[in-house]
Amino acid sequence: MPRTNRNLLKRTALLRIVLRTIHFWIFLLVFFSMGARAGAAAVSAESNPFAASAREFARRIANSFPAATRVGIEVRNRSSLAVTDVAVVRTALLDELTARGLRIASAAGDSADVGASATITLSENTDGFLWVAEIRQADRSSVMLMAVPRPPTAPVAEASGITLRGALVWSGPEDVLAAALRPATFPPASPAGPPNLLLLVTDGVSASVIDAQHTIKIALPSPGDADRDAQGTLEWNGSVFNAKAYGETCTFAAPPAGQQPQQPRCRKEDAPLPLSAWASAPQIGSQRADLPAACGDASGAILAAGTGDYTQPDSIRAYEMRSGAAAPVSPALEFPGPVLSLQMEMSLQSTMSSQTTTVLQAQLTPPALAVVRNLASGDDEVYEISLVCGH
Amino acid sequence: MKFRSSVATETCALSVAALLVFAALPGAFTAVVASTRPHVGGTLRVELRERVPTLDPRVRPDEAQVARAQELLDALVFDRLLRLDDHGDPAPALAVAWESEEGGKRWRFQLRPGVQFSDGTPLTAEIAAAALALEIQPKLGSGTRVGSADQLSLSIESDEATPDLPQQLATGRTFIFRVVGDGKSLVGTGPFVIDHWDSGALPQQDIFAANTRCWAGRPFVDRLAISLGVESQRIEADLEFGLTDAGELAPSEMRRAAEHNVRTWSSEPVDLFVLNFDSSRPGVHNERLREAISAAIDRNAIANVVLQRQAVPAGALLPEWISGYAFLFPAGAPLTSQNPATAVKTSAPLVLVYDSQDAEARAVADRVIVDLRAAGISAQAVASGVSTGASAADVRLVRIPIAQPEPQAALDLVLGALSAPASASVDVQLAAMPPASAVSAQPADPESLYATERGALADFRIVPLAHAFENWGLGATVRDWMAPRWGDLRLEDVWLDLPPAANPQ
Repeated sequence: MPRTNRNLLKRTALLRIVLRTIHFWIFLLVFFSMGARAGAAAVSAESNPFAASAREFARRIANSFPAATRVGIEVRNRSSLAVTDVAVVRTALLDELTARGLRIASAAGDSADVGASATITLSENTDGFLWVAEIRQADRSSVMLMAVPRPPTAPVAEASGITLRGALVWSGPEDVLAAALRPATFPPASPAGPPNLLLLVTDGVSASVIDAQHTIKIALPSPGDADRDAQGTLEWNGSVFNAKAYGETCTFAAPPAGQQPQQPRCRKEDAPLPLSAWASAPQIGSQRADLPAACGDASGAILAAGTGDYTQPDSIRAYEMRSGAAAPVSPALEFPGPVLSLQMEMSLQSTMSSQTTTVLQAQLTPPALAVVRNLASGDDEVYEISLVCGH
Repeated sequence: MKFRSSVATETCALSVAALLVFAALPGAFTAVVASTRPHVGGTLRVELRERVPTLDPRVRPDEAQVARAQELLDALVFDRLLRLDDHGDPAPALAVAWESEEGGKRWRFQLRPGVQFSDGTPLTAEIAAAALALEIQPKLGSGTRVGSADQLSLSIESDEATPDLPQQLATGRTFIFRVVGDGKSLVGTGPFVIDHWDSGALPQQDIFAANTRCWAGRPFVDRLAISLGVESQRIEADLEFGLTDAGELAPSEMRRAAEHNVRTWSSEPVDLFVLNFDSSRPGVHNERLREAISAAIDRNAIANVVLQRQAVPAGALLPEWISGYAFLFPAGAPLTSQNPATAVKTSAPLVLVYDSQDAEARAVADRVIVDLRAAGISAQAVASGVSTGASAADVRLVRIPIAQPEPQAALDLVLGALSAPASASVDVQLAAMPPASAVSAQPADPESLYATERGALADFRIVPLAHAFENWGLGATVRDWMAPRWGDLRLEDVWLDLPPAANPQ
């Protein structure tokens, strides 16, 4: 056999081994990915916010039929509900209808002996989701509607390297300029309320600090000159809060537990709000928060957001400065609207290394907080941003 | 061959694997987007199709589209007591707090302190009451009293409960103004002041300057140069060649704008085209005839051909995005009558009246006539203002801008507009301020809202045809065009992304 042919066969065999190895790992990746998703789906079905509403709607529908009626059920989705949520709703509806004694046919009108049917449409309007049931029995028909509020959502950006995670901690109709976690010395929130969060809010003309339960309100003095691009910061420096908005800088102390804080001490602040030291990299976004020495890189990194257009969804991403330019070091953490504010105070604690991979856990104390305007709901939302980094 | 085939297979598998890997890393290749904070300065050039003879809120145009354009421009100069937030709920504007007493018969509004009109005069409850009384009293009844308890406290009392008064005061023509000079000049508290107004020119060229006294902060641009009465083709061309920054686009221009890479913005479907029958007229007294007319109209053709896919067929008064149940009213429902043929015989051609100033209304009316004649129903379209028009109208083609996203308020708006018998055109003011009798006592739950709409459509006196989008073309430098889904303009929030040297002052 000529040498060239033998070499070719050797190379062919080697290539096949490599490719089969790759296929094996791809198979494993897909298999475990599907398994993980199936497991996650089972867990999420239990905690899905729509499951309870679906059961309630099913109870109302079931009351329209005599017991043991054979009913054709069809579920349609005309809303922005995710496919996984629709599956959860469908399952909850059918389970509850069955539990209420109805005999479910596979689809509305799928066979001649089904005398009754219910077409359930998952719709939505400006107030939230709207579920509609069109019920038909013999020659009678009726319509049943139920309003279902929209639950908040939380984004996650997973990737190799730095991974950003966003957890929704607050949402509401207030216009929020900035948010900060309050220390334990501040008056405690009600046990059933949202986390210890203070919000710098504006009514378009002046600003005030409130807590998530609206039990505290600290009005900042009205400056007289409103600003359509209002910005603000709210920071805890270890003993007092500093709130900056509309050219005013106000300081208020944490009062004893259970007492309202005293009126803030305020002064005019002519200087604009400071930009990050990364201002020399204007292409990466208008909202930034510094990550000191993130992920073990002495040069540091920042989180940045800001598309420059408040009509567009936004994302947060981590960057490092390389050769004078900002380079992204994490995938984008997507949000349902523009990021209006991004603040961070953090310290890093490194956990340790295993074999060839060094992992640094960045624990943010308190974590970065991002204020986002949800374009779908119109609400402002506060997300707690956490990151895990490794290299 | 076997080897090559095997390699090809494995290469293909590798490609699929690569795709899977990329798909598993969403956002991993997101481009970094340039961005800045909003810029202050520059002149925003805007072109509209309608001419607006005056900005005086006390003057009410007959034509719906003119009234709509006037209301959009009025909002640049004048504020209302309240505004609609992004949810469509009333939010503070000139009033910072409000409360009702006596079951909604008496309302008190606390005005925002420190607000000045553009001439420096402080806003007082007395001035606000004088402006509001002109608008409120005719709508809520002659017994309505608008008064001021002190400098910053305004009260409105009416014989009937008006639980949705805050919603009404956040929309329509309920602007606050101060009359100055000879009684014809008005000043407002809004983000802009009129710098130059010339209603005689064609196209009409008007200049607005930033109001530096505006309580909500001065707008980002220094000036607005608004051209009115511009032909729709010209607007598209001006956008294409950078001769304007924003322009109202007709449905027929949307495709051309897309072909020329003009950035566009569309509202949700908000403009309702609807037939409103005068059932007292002998020609359309028969409900079966009205049903046959409804069934004969090809709504898909109206939405997709006449309105160039810039509309959706409508079987309901409220569009799907507002009500969530519009699909229960299928567009073009088949006849339910057993023998419609006998019902459709008419002794004389039906007269369909449309707004003579509205090009889209004319096109829709022409299409309706074609469909009716195809169904054997004799009919003719007549423009409003023509001598045989208004008085002989059997049915009117009405266009209603539903500038109200809250379902109950939107339905009140539509039903209020359709109950107005004055002319073929919808008066936006009437639309925004339905008579007290049309206002339901409490915000409705979805089922009662659906029942109300179903009842309104039951006898085919009202026949919805289509919901059309409002479209705008935007120049490359326009930023933060944050118009709400229902189509109002918020030009005070718009800024121009121009380098300082190139930003014309």
